[in-house]
Amino acid sequence: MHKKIISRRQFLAAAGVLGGMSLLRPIWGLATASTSESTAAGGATTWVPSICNFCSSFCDIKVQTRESDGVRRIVKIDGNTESPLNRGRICARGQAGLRQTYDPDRLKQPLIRVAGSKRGEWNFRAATWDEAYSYIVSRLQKINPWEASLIGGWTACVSYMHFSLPFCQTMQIPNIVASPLQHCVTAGHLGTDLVTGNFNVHDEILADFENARYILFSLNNASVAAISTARAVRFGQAKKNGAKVVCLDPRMGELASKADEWIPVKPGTDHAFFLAMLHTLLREKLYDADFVSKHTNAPFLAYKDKNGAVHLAADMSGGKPSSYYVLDSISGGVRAVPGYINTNEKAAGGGRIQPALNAPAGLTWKGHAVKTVFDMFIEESEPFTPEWAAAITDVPAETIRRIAIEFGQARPAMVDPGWMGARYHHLIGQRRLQAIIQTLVGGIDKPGGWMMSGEYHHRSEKAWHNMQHGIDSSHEPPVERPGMGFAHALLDIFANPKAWEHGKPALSFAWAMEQQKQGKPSAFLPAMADTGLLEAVKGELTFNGEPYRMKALIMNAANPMRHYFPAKRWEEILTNDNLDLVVAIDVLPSDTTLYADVILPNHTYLERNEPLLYPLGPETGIGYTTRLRAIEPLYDTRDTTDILCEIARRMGRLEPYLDGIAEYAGLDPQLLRNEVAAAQRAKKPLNEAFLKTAYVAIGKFSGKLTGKEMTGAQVEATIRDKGLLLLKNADEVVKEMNLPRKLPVPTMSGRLELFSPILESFAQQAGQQPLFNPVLGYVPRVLTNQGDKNDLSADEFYFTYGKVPVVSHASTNSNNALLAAVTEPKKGQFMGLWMNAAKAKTLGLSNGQEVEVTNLRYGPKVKATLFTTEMIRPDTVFLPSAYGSKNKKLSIAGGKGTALNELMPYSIEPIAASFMSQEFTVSVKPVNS
Amino acid sequence: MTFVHQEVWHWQIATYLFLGGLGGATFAISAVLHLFEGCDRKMLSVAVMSSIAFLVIGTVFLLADMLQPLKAIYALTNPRSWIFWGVVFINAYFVAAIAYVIPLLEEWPMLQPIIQKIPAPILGLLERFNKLVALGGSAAGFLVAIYTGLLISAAPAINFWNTPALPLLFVISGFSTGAAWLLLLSMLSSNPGAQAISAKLEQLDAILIVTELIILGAYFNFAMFLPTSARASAEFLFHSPVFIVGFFVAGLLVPLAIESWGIFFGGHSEKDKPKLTMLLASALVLVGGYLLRIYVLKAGMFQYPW
Amino acid sequence: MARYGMVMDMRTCVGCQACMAACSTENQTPFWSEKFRTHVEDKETGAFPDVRRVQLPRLCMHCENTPCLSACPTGATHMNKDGIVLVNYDRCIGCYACCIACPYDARYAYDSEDVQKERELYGKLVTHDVPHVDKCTFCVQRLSEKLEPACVATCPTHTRIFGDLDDRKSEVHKLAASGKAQALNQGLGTSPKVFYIPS
Ligand SMILES: Nc1nc2c(c(=O)[nH]1)N[C@H]1C(S)=C(S)[C@@H](COP(=O)(O)OP(=O)(O)OC[C@H]3O[C@@H](n4cnc5c(=O)[nH]c(N)nc54)[C@H](O)[C@@H]3O)O[C@H]1N2
Ligand SMILES: Nc1nc2c(c(=O)[nH]1)N[C@H]1C(S)=C(S)[C@@H](COP(=O)(O)OP(=O)(O)OC[C@H]3O[C@@H](n4cnc5c(=O)[nH]c(N)nc54)[C@H](O)[C@@H]3O)O[C@H]1N2
Ligand code: SF4
Ligand code: SF4
Ligand code: SF4
Ligand code: SF4
Ligand code: SF4
Ligand SMILES: [Mo]
Repeated sequence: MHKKIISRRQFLAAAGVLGGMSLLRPIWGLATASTSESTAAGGATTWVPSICNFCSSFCDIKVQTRESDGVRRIVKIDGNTESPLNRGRICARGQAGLRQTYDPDRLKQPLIRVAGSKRGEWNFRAATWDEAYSYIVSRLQKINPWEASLIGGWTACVSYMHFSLPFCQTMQIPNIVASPLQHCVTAGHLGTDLVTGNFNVHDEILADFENARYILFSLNNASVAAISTARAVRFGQAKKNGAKVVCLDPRMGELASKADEWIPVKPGTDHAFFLAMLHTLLREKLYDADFVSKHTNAPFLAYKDKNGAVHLAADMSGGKPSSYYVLDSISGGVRAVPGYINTNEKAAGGGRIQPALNAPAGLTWKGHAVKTVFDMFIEESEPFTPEWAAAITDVPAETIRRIAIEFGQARPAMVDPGWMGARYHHLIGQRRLQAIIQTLVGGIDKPGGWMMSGEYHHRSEKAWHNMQHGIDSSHEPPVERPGMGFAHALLDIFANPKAWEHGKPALSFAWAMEQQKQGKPSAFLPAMADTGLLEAVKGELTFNGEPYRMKALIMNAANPMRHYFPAKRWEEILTNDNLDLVVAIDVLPSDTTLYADVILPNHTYLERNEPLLYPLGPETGIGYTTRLRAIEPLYDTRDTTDILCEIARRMGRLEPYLDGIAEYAGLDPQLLRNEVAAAQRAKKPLNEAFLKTAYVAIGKFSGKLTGKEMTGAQVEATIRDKGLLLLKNADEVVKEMNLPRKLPVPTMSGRLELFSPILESFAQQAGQQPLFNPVLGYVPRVLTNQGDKNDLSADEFYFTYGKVPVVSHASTNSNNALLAAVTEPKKGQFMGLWMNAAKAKTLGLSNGQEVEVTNLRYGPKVKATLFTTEMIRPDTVFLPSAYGSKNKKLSIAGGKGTALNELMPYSIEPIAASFMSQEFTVSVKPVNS
Repeated sequence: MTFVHQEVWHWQIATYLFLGGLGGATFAISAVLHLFEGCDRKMLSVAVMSSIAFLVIGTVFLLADMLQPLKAIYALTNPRSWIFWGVVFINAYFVAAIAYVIPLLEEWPMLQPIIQKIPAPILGLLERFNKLVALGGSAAGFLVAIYTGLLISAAPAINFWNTPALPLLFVISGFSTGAAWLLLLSMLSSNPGAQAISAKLEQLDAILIVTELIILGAYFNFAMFLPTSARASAEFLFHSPVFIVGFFVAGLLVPLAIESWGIFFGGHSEKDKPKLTMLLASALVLVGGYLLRIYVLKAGMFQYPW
Repeated sequence: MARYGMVMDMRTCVGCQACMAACSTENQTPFWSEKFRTHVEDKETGAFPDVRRVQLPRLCMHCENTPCLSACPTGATHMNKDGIVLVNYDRCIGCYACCIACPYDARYAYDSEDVQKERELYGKLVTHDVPHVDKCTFCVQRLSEKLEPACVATCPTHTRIFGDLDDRKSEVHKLAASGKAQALNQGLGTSPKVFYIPS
């Protein structure tokens, strides 16, 4: 029940002026026309297209503004009905977005920390932009370029990649800490990417729920139902179509509540569940044999070396496989297939073949005893029976078997790809397994399966075209490469000392290389990770015998003090006196801005144009959109692009920077220079110059893709009218550019890879471990220094967390009054620490009570408000990523919520250095006990 | 199903309901006494003036609880609404009560100059039809008293209220408080004519309390019968000490005991009666009546279908 | 003339609160005092592991047999030609009789403090200029612009389906006529025009 339905009026005041006879006072004349039927007040209404900025789902929106007395106000945001992605719908955060713009607590002008004060104190003085830039540049000029790092949240990552990457290259700054990678993208997606070849900075697969008949979810909630709108619209349709939904989650989140079957799996054991599922699918022969044999590396022959390591039978040339070998079931002989192509239907050098999935015993290749990859999967999955998994997962063996069979028999069936990782050592392995199962049932780039994004299709096609025509594309910027190609290209820059004039790679890689040299634990792909950052700040990191220091941090749309793991480490970094410069670009006084030397206020998303056009998120069709300003900025704020350009200009590198941007973003460099010069003369924001140039570029691109070239003005007009420019719809894309039915995927072999050459290479370097097993390997959760833990004491729990529909990571500090109000009726579910009600009773704990949660492995404690419920396993607690902040400058969020990252350890796994944020147990006690 | 306490009407409305019942009943009983028993005019005038005051105060409380009291006249628009009828009844009541009381005011020498300002023909008319007005006024008083119950019984999802027993209960309780108020007045009055009716009022009140007890029994029996919000409401009341002790024990049983004792053992001469206990009994009935309204409102629980 | 109604497909509601946020922005309702025209109940029943969590979105049912309208002495509450139950702000005296009469908790007071706060937030663009009792209007102002109600238009899972119950081709008509969607608390005889498909 909502409180305060009716608030009492000032009783006496009213009573004073009235008498009983006032009943008869004639007031008929008072009536005006205001009724609930009358339309809203005010003048002309306008709709401006834009993109929501509250989570990485990238929904297309339309912003309604209305004018009165010469002031234009934003009054409403709706989903853009033209959008194939979110289909006109948006979530609560999207709806409430305008409250961010009108938030009275916003950052309204540049701030500089008062000399002599400490970081963390909030002791700032107002400054002009000129002062702020001078401050920043004077510090940057004193340090070596590698002693600076950008730190970007996902907004920065998605929207400004084409600016931050060339900024780094122009300024010779080899460091970017990009939060979504360790927390989310590499931490989970890398697993699916190892199979599909996809890789994108923020979510690549759009699961086609609405055409699926059976959907299996594991470890996801927000990624669909709590809420990513593009997925939620499809999920809603799936429910209406009668798809069976099964959801593995230790608690009943929003998604699980809509499942036909909720499986409260023991936290951190899903990996075992999927292994058993695979075991059953293979034995019951419930897979799409035709697809698997044609488009995956399952029929490839492979052998074990004397150390037991598995390798593919392949010919190498130039460090890359030039052909693989399969057993042809037509001829019965071993035949070579091309090294990089989408299909196994043709032998290298021609001739139709039919690669066998199973090979007879005793088959040899070049003296090695070989088996098909598929047979190896059968062999290695042998121990992973449903009974075996039942003991680990707490899910009955019959249930696992039944689900596997139901799944295998239903077509199209889908395992949702999952989204956020960063919880357990096995997460990358688990997501990879999910992709393998999805591949086995043929559900890739097919209705009812995993749909790849338009952008990915287009880049894959381009890469394939270049390759076939011998066009060298190595000079192209990384952003032009598809999927894993992009990841590799980024590594070629950031992990590569030779890519930099000063010979220093990103410090995360410098750190990894040094750790390896010393035989200490490190990570293979600490891409844009924070590994080594603390050491570099403290002056402890060396690279090739020289000190590698960190002295300046420029943070954009990032709030590490509240949501990077753990808070303590970031406090240590940001308060260190070795840092000469900490810049925070934000819209609100987040917890992190407390620690800045200079705060640069950004326009909010509704007040700004974006400098480029962007692909439509994970949408399968190929199209472009951007943000257009709905109102003029309310305060003395700036665009990120303008900020970066101005810093570059004052460092004397604007020209090369502009060229770099033009190259990354595919803009005409001459046109860009002209537009920038014109904008400078007119004293207008540079970002408009970029956008103008981008319209022209997309017009040209349209010509290439569809044969219909457009002028920049036509592109702009379409965007203004419809909010987006759709060049090729999803059906056409899937038909013409199917991955992998028409085009190779950007894996090593071009096929979907059940066997993972990347893991193979890790095993090669780090030795055989289940974690790097390129076939299958079971990795238990690591809850204690000894490994797994199953006997919990009375007040000990497994720890889980997740997102709720009304808050975004991108605003963990969300100071949104409307969102706070819609949270209120569900404060328990959305903000409380979930604990099983019966279990709570045995501990003498009750709903709404303040409790202290102690990380039993690493020590930190936090306070939380208990939410007792039957919707969670008795051995597990769950903490929502609710809104909240420490900074009291935020009048709504300040002092609220439980900071999840204060409970987290700094614990990373060895592949992507992603965070192991659930690998510990906690105790829960009443506060003051 | 969810049972949720209504959070719309609070003590202000309870005051209105209470004063409406009290005022309406006071006038009705006075008029009946006048018509059938004959009664001291001075006492009657005090009674009727006080009942008018109760209704004025009650109306002020009602208006003060509204968002737009200045537009209250609009309430005369929709005859399907009980408030519409409330306004009609109350205004009829005011008209009748004023018309009735004016001739009585002549008993008060200090009011003479004011009364004399009223044109003689009108005064004459008022005098002439005094008994008729008393008759009409008692009907209006009755309607006002019963209306307070009808008003709140028109809430389909508040099962505890949505029963014909509630207007009945309110009307009986209203008359009981009216009788108690008149008893109080009669006992405080130095006028022997007023005192003469004390015994009558005492008996009337005792009968009303017994009736109220019977209705209450039936009412709660009905409420407890089905697992609806009415049962939740009844249980809420059973668990409210102020309701049980304040209303049921102190507001019904104790006065009933005192009055019964007075009726059966108290002797027949007025002097024998322990005046103080009787005053206490009346006061308790009044407080009890007020508590009943407050608690019935508090106990109003919606039964929502989710 | 239409007979507007809504169907809630409870199989898909995830309790995301988008409808509440949308309605509040569109209709400038007083979120600052946590008052809304629409709510989403979130209920659990049963014991682990046999638990159910049901999300039930609700708003004014636009009853055909309308207790709030009967209770309203001023005629402020009225039904328009399309069957939408509305409040005339200027006629409303704020007596709350309708709030008491409504069996679906669909109404709240837009009181004088709320009116003042609205003015602070929206400047000249106020839409509630006098205190009154407020409720869902099926977004009449959007209907006249051929837009769906704000809560319907945004609902990410298509839980809310809106249309003319008299239009035989409409989804709402079909769902209501098929009996798949049922009104709440039918025993009260209010004949709601909002129907629910059970989850
Ligand atoms: N506690 C907790 N931590 C988490 C997660 C979680 O669920 N809970 N999830 C993890 C995951 S999956 C991810 S992807 C990451 C995401 O984490 P990030 O991508 O780093 O989130 P941010 O984008 O940094 O959002 C934080 C800051 O951006 C600011 N901001 C908002 N709009 C703008 C703008 O227009 N311009 C600028 N300059 N700043 C703006 C906000 O005020 C806020 O201070 O978080 C991870 N960390
Ligand atoms: N509201 C909201 N939506 C968002 C975002 C946002 O910030 N806010 N951000 C977007 C982004 S960047 C991301 S990365 C995605 C993230 O979306 P998801 O990947 O869905 O992540 P969470 O919402 O954290 O959901 C995690 C769920 O997993 C459950 N869980 C925890 N441990 C285990 C386990 O061991 N096994 C199983 N089976 N389940 C477990 C939790 O109970 C929780 O319900 O959401 C996107 N959508
Ligand atoms: S899902 Fe919600 S928060 Fe995310 S982009 Fe879409 S509307 Fe914005
Ligand atoms: S917007 Fe739709 S899914 Fe979300 S709570 Fe409202 S009705 Fe349910
Ligand atoms: S739901 Fe309530 S407010 Fe709406 S029409 Fe029915 S009675 Fe009136
Ligand atoms: S509060 Fe307004 S709408 Fe409701 S009954 Fe009273 S006058 Fe009618
Ligand atoms: S129909 Fe309009 S007024 Fe009614 S709840 Fe939905 S958004 Fe609010
Ligand atoms: Mo994420």
